Amino acid sequence: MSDELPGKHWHEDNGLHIDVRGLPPPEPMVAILGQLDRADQSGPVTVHHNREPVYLYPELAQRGWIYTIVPGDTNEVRLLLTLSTRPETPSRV
Amino acid sequence: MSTPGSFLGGARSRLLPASVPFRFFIAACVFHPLAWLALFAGAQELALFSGGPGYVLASIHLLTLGVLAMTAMGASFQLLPIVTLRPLGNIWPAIASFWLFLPGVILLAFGMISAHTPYLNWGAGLVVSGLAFFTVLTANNLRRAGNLPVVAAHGWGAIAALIIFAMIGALLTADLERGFLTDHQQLAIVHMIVAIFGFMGLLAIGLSLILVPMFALSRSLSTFQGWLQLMLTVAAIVTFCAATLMDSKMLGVIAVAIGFAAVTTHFRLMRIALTSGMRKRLGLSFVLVRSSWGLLAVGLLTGLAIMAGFSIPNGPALFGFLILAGWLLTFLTGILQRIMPFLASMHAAGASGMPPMLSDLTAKTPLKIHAACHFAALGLCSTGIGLERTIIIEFGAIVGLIGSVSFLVFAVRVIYELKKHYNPE
Repeated sequence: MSDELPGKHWHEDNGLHIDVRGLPPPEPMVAILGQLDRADQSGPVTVHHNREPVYLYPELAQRGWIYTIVPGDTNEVRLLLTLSTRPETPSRV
Repeated sequence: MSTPGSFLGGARSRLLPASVPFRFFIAACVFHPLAWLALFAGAQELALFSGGPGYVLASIHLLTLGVLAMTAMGASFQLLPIVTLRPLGNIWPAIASFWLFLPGVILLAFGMISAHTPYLNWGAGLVVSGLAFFTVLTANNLRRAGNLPVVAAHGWGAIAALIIFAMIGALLTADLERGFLTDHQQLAIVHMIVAIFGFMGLLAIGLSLILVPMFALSRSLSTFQGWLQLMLTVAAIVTFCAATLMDSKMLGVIAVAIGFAAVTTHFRLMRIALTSGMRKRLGLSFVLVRSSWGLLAVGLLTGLAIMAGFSIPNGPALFGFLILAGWLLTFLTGILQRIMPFLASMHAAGASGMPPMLSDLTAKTPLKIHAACHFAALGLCSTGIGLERTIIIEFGAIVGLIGSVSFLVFAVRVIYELKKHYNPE
């Protein structure tokens, strides 16, 4: 599945990285959620975006992922995604 | 689509305060039961309705302006800046458009019920003023949009239709007092077609190119097919208006045939989004959305049969009901129940990194009641129109009213949850 996903992704010491910069809508969301929905994905995941993906946040919350905006390159919004420890079990949609 | 940026990546500067879109949505949810109530009051006139002041005309305008246009305005103010990657600019024109449009719709509806000309004139004036603010603001945003040309073109088409139907609407209102038009009904049909298929239709199929792939989590859709659906839709509307003004049945049949080609192209795009999307279970909202597409096809078939000369009992009223309540209202309530919790969660996200979950913002029982009542009301009212039985239409309108109140409960619950979680930075 992940091979069919748009954007670029790679692994580093600090986990999975997904670069969705320059993708047409709604492919950034498809790329990020496609990676997160993989059964073995437990984070952390770093997302390289060119804007703050506000429309992604409800989807992340539904899946139990927390986002933090961390410093990135110029013209980049970088998000660090980690699995939530909130008491409810979020349903995978 | 050759977009350099990302629709999903809206900077917070492009996010309006939650109160702006939600005031439109809540107003629409209040006008929704009022439209069913007016239909109940005018049940006796519905089957043979062919225009003119009264409860049915008021119900149509409470639905088209109060529910459909109100939602379209709120959704456009919220979504277009994110689609176009350009901020809306000033927020006050959006708020001004609401405070002009809201009393305008109320006055217009009162004017239509009472056939009281000053109410009609003031109502029409306020509605046109509110729509003018919306038009200028939306046009300014689309003008600066460099990306998503297909969606932007649908937006331009909707704006052009809005200007045309608003002008014709003002003419029709003035004609009720002065009687200067040679054929009031002919122009009323053009007004209705341009408003329904031009303004609402183009917004619905244009925003669907973004919203449906976003909800289904599919890849972006074919730009070529998007342009094709736009050109066919515009061609169908123009041809139908020409057919009406020239009183040509043959041209009318051609227009509906082109309309079918447009709808087929749209359905093909939507099918691609739904079948290729990662999310297969789209819930109750998409039961409504899919049903609305089916009802659009049934409505157009009814229109084609009328144009071709087949005898459909009370065909024009049935056609109008299937298109307005069947297609547009079903589609809109399906989309609205999806985007309201979504936008609420997005607005409540703040800096916490943990916005409220969509499931916590969605009251499922009121939505189930609404869906059941809505479909029952569609069936009952259509049957009542066909059989020309007032009692069945009245019963259908009451069932629709119960469903719409249930939908209002859902909307109020979303607002309550948003207020509870809202934490502006």
